Amino acid sequence: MKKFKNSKKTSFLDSIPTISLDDDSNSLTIKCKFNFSYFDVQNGISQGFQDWTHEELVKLLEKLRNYSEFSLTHWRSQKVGNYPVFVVYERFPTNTDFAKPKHIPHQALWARFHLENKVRVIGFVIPDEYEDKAHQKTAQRFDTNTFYIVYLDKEHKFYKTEK
Amino acid sequence: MILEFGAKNFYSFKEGFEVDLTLNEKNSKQKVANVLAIKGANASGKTNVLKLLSFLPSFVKNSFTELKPDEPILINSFFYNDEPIEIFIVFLDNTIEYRYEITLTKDKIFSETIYKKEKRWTKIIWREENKIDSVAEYSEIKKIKLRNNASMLSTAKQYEIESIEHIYNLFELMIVNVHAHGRHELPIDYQSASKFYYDNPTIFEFVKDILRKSDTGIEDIEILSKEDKENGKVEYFPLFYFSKNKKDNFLTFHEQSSGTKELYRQLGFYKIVLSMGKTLVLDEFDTNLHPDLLPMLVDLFENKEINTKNAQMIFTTHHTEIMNKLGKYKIVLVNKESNESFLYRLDEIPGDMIRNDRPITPIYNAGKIGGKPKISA
Repeated sequence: MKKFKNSKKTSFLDSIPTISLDDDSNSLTIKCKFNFSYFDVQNGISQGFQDWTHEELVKLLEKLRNYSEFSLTHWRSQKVGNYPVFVVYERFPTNTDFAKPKHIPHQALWARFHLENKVRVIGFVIPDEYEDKAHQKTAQRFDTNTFYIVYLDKEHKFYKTEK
Repeated sequence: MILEFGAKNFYSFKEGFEVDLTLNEKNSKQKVANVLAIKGANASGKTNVLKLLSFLPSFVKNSFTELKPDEPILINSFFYNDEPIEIFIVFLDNTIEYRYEITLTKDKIFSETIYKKEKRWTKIIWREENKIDSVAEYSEIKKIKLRNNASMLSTAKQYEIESIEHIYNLFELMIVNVHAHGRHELPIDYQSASKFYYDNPTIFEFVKDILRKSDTGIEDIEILSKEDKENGKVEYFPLFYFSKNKKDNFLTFHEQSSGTKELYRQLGFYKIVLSMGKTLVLDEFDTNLHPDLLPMLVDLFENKEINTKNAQMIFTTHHTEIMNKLGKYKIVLVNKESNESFLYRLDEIPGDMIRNDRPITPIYNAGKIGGKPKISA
């Protein structure tokens, strides 16, 4: 008996995405996020985007893309050479060339991502107690899996005791 | 019941299409759909799907008597090419399945085959060009003389061969408002419908009941008759009463809304189909009907207490909300690409986009599953 195939039907059905937020294996929720809204420059100490070469900026974006595959927790346990990829310092360091900024929430836990050699990206995360908690006014949920980038630190001047 | 049908090189379908009415829904006792909706953009080829159900019964039953020996068959291939058209249909008759296949052009039939399935499929009657053969049970049919443009069943009917009667009758089961050139009104005008209702009070009660439930404001309908004195013919016409007291508030057929007129003409067919277990095939079923009425009409077929004979309704519609009611197993979408139609049932959509616990319309309206017009700005 005949079966009537149709190549246009097959290619249409094949073009429909099958990945779903509802899949058990879907990892979208655990991927860490990067936020630049608190980004700042401390003259002569940290750099703005315009101070980095095109090549350095491309490397930065490539690294962020790579880091965004997994959670912040995951990166705390990973190493590049002897250095952890991601460290949460909790307090603003004392042995630093940076002045403590005022535009950051006081609950911020200072942290950094390692890019290469001396190059670091400095920022903060929010404490675990904010996990799944809604903001009292906006009712939007806090996200402890977001890294808020504040400084580009090419010369490793933020946490100077770390080698 | 119709289980499946399909065709290839048929009107806007260059490649094949298959419409499957069998249900593989988990935990469902129902194995065959009583309702199937066909949706798609204008000119996508929806009506062409139904043309198969219009062409096939008429051709299989009547081609011997309706066509002169040299007349062309009323069917078109994809853009009128010369390649043969292939068609099949599968019926369920109690517990036995029958499958009919035909390959033909406008000018001649190349082959016809009938299969029967009790435990497994067996070829029972078959024809190559004008040579016919069969298994022993149907050997009487071998005596018939075939011609190029007449089906073997329509020819065998002329020889009054009893053994094929039940197969022939399977093709009696469809009432269709489509023909080769598109949609047509169901073959009944209001006067013929009125006479029919006058002669069949049970059907008339059903019609009145549905019209009352449809919020038309109609309380009762009376069919009157008058004799045309010139030709002696008796004409039947309805009066629609809008209050319980029949004396006042009545209107004639012509004063009714187009929706009420449509229902008045159509509803008798619903009752016939339901009481005989037939298949009602309606192109643009919702024309002139308010969308709120569609679920009620669909329910006549879905409700096992009303639809005791396993009647089916297959229809095209532009109504979208009905998708949520029917669910993914009872909706077929027709798409067109490079002027070629193709179709798929919604349960064929891969992934979890269509789920029973979520309405289908938002996904359909967002254009994620096809079957919608692509409008250029």
